[in-house]
Amino acid sequence: MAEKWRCEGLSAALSLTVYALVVGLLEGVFYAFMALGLNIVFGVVRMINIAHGDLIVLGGYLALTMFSSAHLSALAAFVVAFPLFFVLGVGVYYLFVPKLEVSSDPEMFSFIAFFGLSMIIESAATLAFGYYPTSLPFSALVSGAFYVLGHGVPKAFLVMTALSAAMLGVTYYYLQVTRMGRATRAIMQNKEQALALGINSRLVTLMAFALGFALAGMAGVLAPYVIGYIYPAEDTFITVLAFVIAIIGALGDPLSSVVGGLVFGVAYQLLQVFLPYLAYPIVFFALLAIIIAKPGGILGKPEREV
Amino acid sequence: MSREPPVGLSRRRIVQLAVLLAVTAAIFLLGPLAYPNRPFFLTTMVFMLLAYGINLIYGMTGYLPFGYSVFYGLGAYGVYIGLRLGMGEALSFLFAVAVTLGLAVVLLPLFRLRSHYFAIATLAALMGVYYLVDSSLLAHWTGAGEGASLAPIYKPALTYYITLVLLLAFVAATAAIKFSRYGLGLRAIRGSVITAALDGVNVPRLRGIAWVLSALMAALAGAMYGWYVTFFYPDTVFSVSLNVYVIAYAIFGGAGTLTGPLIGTLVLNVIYNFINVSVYSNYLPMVFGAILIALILLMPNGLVDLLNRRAKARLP
Repeated sequence: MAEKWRCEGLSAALSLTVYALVVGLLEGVFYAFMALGLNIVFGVVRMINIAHGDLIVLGGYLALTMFSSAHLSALAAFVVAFPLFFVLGVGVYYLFVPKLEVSSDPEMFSFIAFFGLSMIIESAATLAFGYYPTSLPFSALVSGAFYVLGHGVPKAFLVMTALSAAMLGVTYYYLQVTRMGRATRAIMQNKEQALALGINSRLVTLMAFALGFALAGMAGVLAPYVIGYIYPAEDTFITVLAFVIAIIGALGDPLSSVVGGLVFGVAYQLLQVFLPYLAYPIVFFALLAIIIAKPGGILGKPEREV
Repeated sequence: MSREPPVGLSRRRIVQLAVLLAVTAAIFLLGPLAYPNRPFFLTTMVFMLLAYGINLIYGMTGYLPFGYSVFYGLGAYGVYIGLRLGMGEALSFLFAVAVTLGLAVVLLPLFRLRSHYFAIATLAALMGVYYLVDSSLLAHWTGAGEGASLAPIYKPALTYYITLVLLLAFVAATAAIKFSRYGLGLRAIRGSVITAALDGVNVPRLRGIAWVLSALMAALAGAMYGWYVTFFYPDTVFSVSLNVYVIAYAIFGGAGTLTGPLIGTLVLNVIYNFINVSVYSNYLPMVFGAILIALILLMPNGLVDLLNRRAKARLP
């Protein structure tokens, strides 16, 4: 304790900066993973899944329930989340997408429909798990901590980052190497041409859409560690955060989320350390500024209507 | 009916508008006599003000602001902050309106973008302003988590009648816009952006005017709400779910129609209050989520359009 008091002034600021960089990079990998599902769904159907945050909250509750009722590790929840949320994605796809795609205003109507879905999930989660924030004990993944210049970082963060990186790798492999993934990227780039080349658009889109849901659920299992706690009403906050990360990269280009996640992770940690009262407003106003200046994302192509 | 020119207030339209205004005034002047629950009627009017604002921006431009309550919240908080800064009563209301219009103008470049960017950007504006007002850094001026009180200027009867006058004005303004050259331009844009732009319609400008007017409507609604309830927290007025309810009201009635916001709010707000006082109040967001999905998938043009089509189908 005495050592902590000795580092004052500049050296304290320096050690906090290093701490923010380390934690920011660790969390940044997770943030990239958290935005991945949103970006994949947007890429294939050009709809913003405003219920993305709800999937993440549900993933968090899955981990919490499995740990508190059967003392199962968050790793088990991580694995179970994939099929569960994949099936949910298939269901939502068939309920929404075919009908919305032929509607008079797919962009706006999908936003409204997904908002309705978000309200249903949020209120179901409130009825099932209550209104108050809950946290997932680190022992669900791994207990203990390591130290960066005197500041403790939970070891669970390392596992969380490794899992996120692994899923980013798997998604990279799927999109870049497999036949299905390459067809997915073709649809993201130019749907008409992909159709003309004989790609089974419906199947490829369905797979990518459901994959987006599955990845969101898996990210949700890890989310309680980064966000600190979970509660049903934080859904919109998480969705907008995921959108911030997606747009720091490029919208509709899932792998650019890695850049978005790392930039966001470090910037957010620095804000939390040095401007804690203004961290949230700055993040959201920054999103606003990016949308106005570069709506396709910082790394993306410009997208203007008029 | 198709022989009526699209622009200009014909005698038929004036009579229709007069009847609508008279019915609205009667509901809110006589209603409290039959059912003595003034707060219910006032909140219904406030919802109607918001529904007319959504009606203007969404119904006439197709751009739906999911963070619309940022203007509503700024309307309520603007008055409080104005009073905290030592402005008089009237000046505080002007201050609230000015702040709101300022934000609306800052967001104008969004109208060059596709509509879903607009939707998420307004959501970002709502969250940014909410966290700013909620931040303990500004607690001296905003009250932050302690809440804001307008008790010193509490005048319930005056608030009620001003709100009614505003509602009648919004109805009349909607009619005036709908049947003006300006409204015709907006409808041309909805038909086809590219064709309208080629015909010399200044697309971002026309949308921008609707946006600023609609922000003004929300600010007035928020100011009236804050004035009437006299005590509110940041999350009561900067509320995401409030947006969703009002959007449901406007779409249910029929976005872009003259009577839609009135009918939609009356019907759904009664259902809302009915569920809210029952044992099923926990299911309220779920019910409205389902209503929203059903509306958008099954009748995106709303009740008024549905009734109109029925009526037309019956004609020989």
